[in-house]
Amino acid sequence: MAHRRGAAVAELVAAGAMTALAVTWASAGVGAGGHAGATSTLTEPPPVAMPSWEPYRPPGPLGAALDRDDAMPTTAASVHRTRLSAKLDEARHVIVGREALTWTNPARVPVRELYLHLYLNAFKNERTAFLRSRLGDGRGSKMPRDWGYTDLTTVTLVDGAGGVDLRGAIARHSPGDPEDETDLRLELPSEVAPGATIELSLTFESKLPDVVERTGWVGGFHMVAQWFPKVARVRPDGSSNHFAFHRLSEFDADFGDYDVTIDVPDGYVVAATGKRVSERRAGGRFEARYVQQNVHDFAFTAWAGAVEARARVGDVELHLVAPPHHEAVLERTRASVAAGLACYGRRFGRYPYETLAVVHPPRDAEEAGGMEYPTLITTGGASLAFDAVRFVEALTVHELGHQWFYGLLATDEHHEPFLDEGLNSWAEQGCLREIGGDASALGLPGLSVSVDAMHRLGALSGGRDDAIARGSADFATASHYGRLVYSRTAALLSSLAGAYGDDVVERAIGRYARGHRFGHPDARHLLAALDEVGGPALAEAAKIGLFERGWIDLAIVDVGTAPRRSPHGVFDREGGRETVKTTDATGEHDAWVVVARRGTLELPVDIELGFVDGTRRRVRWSGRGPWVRMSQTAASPLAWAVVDPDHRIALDERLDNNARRLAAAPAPLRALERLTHLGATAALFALP
Amino acid sequence: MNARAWLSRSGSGLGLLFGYAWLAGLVPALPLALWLGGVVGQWPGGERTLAEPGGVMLLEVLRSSTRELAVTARAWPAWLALVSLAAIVPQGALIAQLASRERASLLDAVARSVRCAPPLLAVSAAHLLARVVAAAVFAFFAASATVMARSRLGELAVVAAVAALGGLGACALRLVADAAAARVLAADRRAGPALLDALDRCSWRAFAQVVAAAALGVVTWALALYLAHVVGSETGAQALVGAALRLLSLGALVVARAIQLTVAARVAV
Repeated sequence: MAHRRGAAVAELVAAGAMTALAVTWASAGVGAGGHAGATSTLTEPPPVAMPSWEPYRPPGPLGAALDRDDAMPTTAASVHRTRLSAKLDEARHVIVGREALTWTNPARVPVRELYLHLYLNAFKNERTAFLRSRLGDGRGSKMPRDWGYTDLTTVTLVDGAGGVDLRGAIARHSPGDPEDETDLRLELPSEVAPGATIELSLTFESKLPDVVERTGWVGGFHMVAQWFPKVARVRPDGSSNHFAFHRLSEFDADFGDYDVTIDVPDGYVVAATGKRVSERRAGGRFEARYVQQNVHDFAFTAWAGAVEARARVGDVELHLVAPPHHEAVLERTRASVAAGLACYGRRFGRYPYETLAVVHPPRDAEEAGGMEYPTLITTGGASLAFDAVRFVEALTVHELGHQWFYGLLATDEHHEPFLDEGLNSWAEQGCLREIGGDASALGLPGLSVSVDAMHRLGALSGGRDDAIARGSADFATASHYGRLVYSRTAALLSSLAGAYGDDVVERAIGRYARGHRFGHPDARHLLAALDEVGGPALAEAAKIGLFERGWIDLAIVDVGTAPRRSPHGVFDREGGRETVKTTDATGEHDAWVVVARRGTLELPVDIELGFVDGTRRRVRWSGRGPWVRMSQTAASPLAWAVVDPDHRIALDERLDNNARRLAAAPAPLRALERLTHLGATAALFALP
Repeated sequence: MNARAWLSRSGSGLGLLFGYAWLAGLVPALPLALWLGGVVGQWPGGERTLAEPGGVMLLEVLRSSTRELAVTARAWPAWLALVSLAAIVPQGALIAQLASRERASLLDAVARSVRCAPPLLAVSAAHLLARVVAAAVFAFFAASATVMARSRLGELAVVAAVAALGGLGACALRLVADAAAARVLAADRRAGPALLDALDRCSWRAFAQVVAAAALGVVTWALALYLAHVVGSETGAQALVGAALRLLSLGALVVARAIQLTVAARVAV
């Protein structure tokens, strides 16, 4: 079903669905301020597909065996073997490339067409889908100063008779988009049967832009990513997951084996996907060969003047590359990677590769930082690398986490970005907590801020403007994409863990990660894992949160306390009617609190009562109904009540209504205390 | 001059400066206090909730007060410039008391300060400008310096050195400006000659005394604030003690400032 949904969305995008949903009208002389003949366009996003439960249950349970590493897959079904050679012309910032692709049809049906993604064409001119979709804020919003593109010079189907030239069989534009050239259809001369193999030989020249987003050059720094013609992933039904490269989109590809030879000027530092198996220097050039199985992309950096360091963490060899004078940053990066490998490995299955390259781009190439490729990540920041601000740690751990949520779980980043960015944002919180505790984002004496709190801030600042589970090209703005896909997914999963137990959600996502390793899971696989471990209520809450803009606000709406007395009034007893006029205090006190749950998410939550004598009581509420009344009898009057005292429900929209004090300091004194607090601080600046 | 004599001579001026700083501080504090009260006022820990590990409530306050904080932040530079310049009257009065050979009443000291307002304003503006320029230059070099650190320890050392240098620079600027203000008040000098006089007369000893007073003030201020934090604000008594401690922390700063002015007055006269 998710495949069908994905395919449907892909086709809609390909056919220009956004324009199909657009309403164009001429607003000639419409009211004050209308301009005769002006044309306006209204664009609405397509509806978010709502998963019905049963079709989203994939066949067979994952099983408890996947709570450990023993049962998880150890290799991918390799769809292609790709041999690449790349020669960097450092003066023109061009990669002269050759690609020998052996492709096996993974579908259940014959395939007659393939789609080639030439992502660098996104930077060819300002009419590409990518540059048309610059949305005003965030990464990728600036126009390149030096254009980038890929020229396919030859495309040949290799057969026994010397090859078939397919240049005429390849489309010139992305389907339905005559201005974009990032998604090209290649019609094959004949059908490829399921499991059958073809060989393609391609030559190309890839011109890098100056660093715009993820890829490009600045000075002697070259981040060479999305640089070769990539075959779009073919689904089991034979359709391809192809799409024009949108600014907010990332990628999707089949697993395969890469063998890549990189040729750069001698003196350049090279870091790449995979293991360096050979190198040689000759004629002022440096050539290195990299090999890696079970990955779905290949990227490298070639950098004049970088510093590099190597380290070993367990079985993994780290290759760290950074600008000069960043030794302290490299050390923090190394420590973060070491902690992250252990943490992610324990939670989601061990890291299966032998190498990991970490590239810290130079200051003027920040847009190349904060990105993930198989066995290669880019980090960034830290020109002010104070320990107190854990930006280096946060970014490093986030990108490292993508080795699982993107790398090993090769989800569709274009149509379901929350499965990589969102799950990873949730997962990073736990690993950063292991590094920095409550100060995982900021740690100053007396002041700590966690990444969890930062994600909550982002999640609630984005509000419920849209559903989380949207395709990346369908978000209104980059800010919505960031807040909903990253932060709201993280806050949603944190809330589910807070409500149903950290261990439950950890186990569910651990089982999902191990069970679908080297696969292409979608939302239904995630929901099924949550259902399997935590039950249908957990999965339903996740579904509402992801697909239905689910929200929650917990509030204390009434609270009170009174001494318990023997009852008085008129009582009809066996001996006759008795009027009791005076009452006696029992020495006990009644306390009551009414908690309301607003919103569509029903999550179990704690309610805590504090009494004047210092005692506390905590009660669990299922969170099912719209409100609950809790009554208690205690030896002391009630002093305060708090719902969700430990901030376990990160998505709780307001915290000012979560608590109510009864026996607190009188309001004027509290106001005085606050005024002295802030006034004394502000007065600091008033002292000349 | 012993402490009693010093207090007897300058107590009224000290009180005026304290009152001025407190009232000036209330201007931005009042709306912030209202917003804070709206968010954490009902939580059992009160304002202490803001400092709880993880910072959830702190960020909640920021989130729910984004618009108000933005308005306050936009007004902050103007407020800062205004209170710095307006401070010439209470500060001038205190300097006038400290620099005068005879005991001066507060009224006389204020009158003298008002009479000398134009050159005092010029000195104050020059001081403000020098601080802004020095801070910008310093921030630029500080940002570069931390990148050069080769280890975590080295980075800490760089940060400590940067903070120390920044503090020392601020003290030096302050001593010169205070001494110039004292020259204006005691010798009827104009701003330019007063600044040159001050530069001539400042000594390492005076500088060390100013630095020591600043350190004493900051430490006492931080200690009082910490104690207030520990006391909490759950009950009326706690809230009162906390308020008193915070006022005391401001008092410590004002006394430290008065000591600096005394040093400057000695230098100048």
